[in-house]
Amino acid sequence: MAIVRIYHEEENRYYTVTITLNYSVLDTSNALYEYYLLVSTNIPRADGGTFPLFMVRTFDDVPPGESTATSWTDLVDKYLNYFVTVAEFGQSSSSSSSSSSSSSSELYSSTSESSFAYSSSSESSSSSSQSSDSSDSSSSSSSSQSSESSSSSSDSSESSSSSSDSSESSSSSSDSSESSSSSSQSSESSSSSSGL
Amino acid sequence: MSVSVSIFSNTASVTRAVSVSFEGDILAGSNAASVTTDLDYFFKFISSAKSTDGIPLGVELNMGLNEPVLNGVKQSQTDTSNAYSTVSEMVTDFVYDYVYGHVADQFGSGVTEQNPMDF
Repeated sequence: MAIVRIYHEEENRYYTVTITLNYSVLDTSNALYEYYLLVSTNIPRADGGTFPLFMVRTFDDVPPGESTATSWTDLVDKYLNYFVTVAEFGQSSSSSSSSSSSSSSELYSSTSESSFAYSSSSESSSSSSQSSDSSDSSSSSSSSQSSESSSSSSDSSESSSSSSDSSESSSSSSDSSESSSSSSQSSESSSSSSGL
Repeated sequence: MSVSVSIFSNTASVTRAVSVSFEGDILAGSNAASVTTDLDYFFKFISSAKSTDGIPLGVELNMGLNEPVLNGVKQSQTDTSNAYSTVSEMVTDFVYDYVYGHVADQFGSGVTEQNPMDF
């Protein structure tokens, strides 16, 4: 599980983006287990709503408006940029531009956590490879995403199920999805369970 | 949080496991040309099982669906250089390689031999 922490300076708190590997039966016609990533966050939308749970099964399961991912790092970067853009993090409400950059980062390589800092006076995140200037997101794109989010936020719902139950889920990033909440569990790999 | 894939040998009545997780870390070693402070996100496969010649099976990393298990060139199950289309396909192929191993330079991949998982 990868946990990305994003520090909001004005609020003096951390928000998180969590990317978790999960598995369940998604297609009841074949009853095969499928593996997928679940991307979730507690970052609030700029309109006060919440982001839905995103399911990633292919590199095409990227946030709205994004191109196909080329690597897992690229995929995570796209989701991070999408969340902070729709949340309008780093949008300055002050006309002052004299303050120096106050962004900071904390890298936790041993626990797969990373942190980024956003503030209205700073427009950059700390990591050079994953920096995203929130000022680059134009107000038009933010507003268009906000309008998309307002329609989908009301549909968001999450459900949990036991590990032995099947779960239904949607891979569309604009729809809500239901996910199983099973923690680390065993499953028999269909490719190797016989003849050994 | 990781997913543990259990492999049961009905012949030996023994279960082995491959742990799969999605991580975000600074990488060093063979997956990093040079160690930087940049974070990379990847799938990590680990197993405490050994191959039939007693060698620990070790760690495998997957950086993307376009990186098949054998030296980033070929998939272990089929002779194809196509990228995986889904996470499931990738995980299954990596687990397959742990269980069945591969011969030296299988499918022209240039990899060294890895014996099958010992049960």
